[in-house]
Amino acid sequence: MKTNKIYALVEVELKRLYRDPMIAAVLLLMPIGLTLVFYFALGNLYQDPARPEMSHFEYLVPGTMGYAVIYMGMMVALALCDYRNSGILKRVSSTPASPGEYLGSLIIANMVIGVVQSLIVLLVSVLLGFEAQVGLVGLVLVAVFMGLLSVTAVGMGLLTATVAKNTGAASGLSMIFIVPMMIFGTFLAVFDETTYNIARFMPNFYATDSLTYIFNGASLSEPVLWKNLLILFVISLVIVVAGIQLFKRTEFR
Amino acid sequence: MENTRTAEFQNEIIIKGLVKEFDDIRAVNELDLTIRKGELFGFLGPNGAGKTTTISILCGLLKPSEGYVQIAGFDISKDLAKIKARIGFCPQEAAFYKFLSGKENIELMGKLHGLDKITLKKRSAELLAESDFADKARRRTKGYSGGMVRQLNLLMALISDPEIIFLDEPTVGMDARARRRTWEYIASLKDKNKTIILTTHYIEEAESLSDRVGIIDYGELIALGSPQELMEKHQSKDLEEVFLKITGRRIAEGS
Repeated sequence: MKTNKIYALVEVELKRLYRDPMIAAVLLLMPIGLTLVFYFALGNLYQDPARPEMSHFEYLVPGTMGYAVIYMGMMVALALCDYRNSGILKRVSSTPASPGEYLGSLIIANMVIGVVQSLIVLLVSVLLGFEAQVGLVGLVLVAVFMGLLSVTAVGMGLLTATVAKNTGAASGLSMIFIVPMMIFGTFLAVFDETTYNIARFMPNFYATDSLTYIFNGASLSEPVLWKNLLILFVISLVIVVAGIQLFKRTEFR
Repeated sequence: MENTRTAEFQNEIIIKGLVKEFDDIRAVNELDLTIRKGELFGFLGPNGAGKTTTISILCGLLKPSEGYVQIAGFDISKDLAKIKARIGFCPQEAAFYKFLSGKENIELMGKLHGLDKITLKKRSAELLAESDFADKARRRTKGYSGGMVRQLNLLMALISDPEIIFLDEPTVGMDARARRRTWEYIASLKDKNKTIILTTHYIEEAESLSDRVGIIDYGELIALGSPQELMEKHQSKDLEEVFLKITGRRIAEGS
């Protein structure tokens, strides 16, 4: 049996998580820290008069899950800049592994990481009193949304790494997409109509919106869920294909 | 599917009219070169002469602007994947994952070359034993010394037991003893009928190891022959003197 190249590369990316303390701290402890900050600092910031039974923290949970995933885009960009500058990309390119296999492994590994990160946020939120009215099928749908959002994050990481020549530039450039998504996609509850409409241009809006429905016990046949899923699928596909093509053009010549 | 491979080939690498341009810079200019099967070929030139660009093209990392390249009987423009399956590339940089152990890095290269588990295990054990690297390979690479980095870089290129090995500055940063040991190791690869293309800034390294040497400057091949032939032709006592005479500068100087 031939050892699978994609599996081997996914394994390496996942090992990076627990072997590199900085990455482990950012990718695994960050969701916990983020949830705690939002709970203690913003949990009672705003009360929707139309939904007095719902705290602001409960509004924030779906957005926080999405934000934890989007933040991963920066980690992807940093890793790619590091791999490029240390010659790892060059070395991998000299093997029979194709750019598709390499970038595919990056997407798969980060989908796993993204889903795990968002589930950590959900778990911590539940421990803090968040009542998610969701069953197993609903949770699977949540994972699908987070997986698609992870693909978007990888695409953004690829686009960033294409432009940025080093890790310093990559972290700065990543903020261009992270900050708007944090503001518009995470703090959804405090938006007026204008900002709500701006949020519609953010990929994480569609995940946040859908997760809000799912956690509030909406039926899975709710049309808005499937409409959001389709939109997020198209956005993630466009961003990741653009990211792959541009990154391939600069790194895998 | 081996039907595109040239049936008979004595020459492992055939380069005809190779050109590589970066915007307005011609890094490789009409390069013609043939490297024989089982030959250890020293590829020398000052900094920026076009050595690394040429090696990068031969390893499939860069596309040539013009010209024809055949490696192991395959046309690089048509059968790059088949060529990559037959080569081992040892780059100048410490090109490995710092959070993995040396052994994990070596085995990753084997996996990317499609080795099955049994072959990989066997090959990895053999390679580590014969290079006396087994103990060091268990450690994470983050704390490796310069010499260990070079050794690992080399072993990663050899795990797939390639027909053709590209060694780009394989002994930079090694102390004299480690360098000598690596020379012996490289010479032993030649005994296994491997074709080796070696770029180096240590001219004595090229002189003692190479069957033939090619000197490139401004992207053009300006000298080709065995070290002995070149020394006789240029009436020089060693290859370094030949190099100085024909390039007008020392190897590590900028162009």
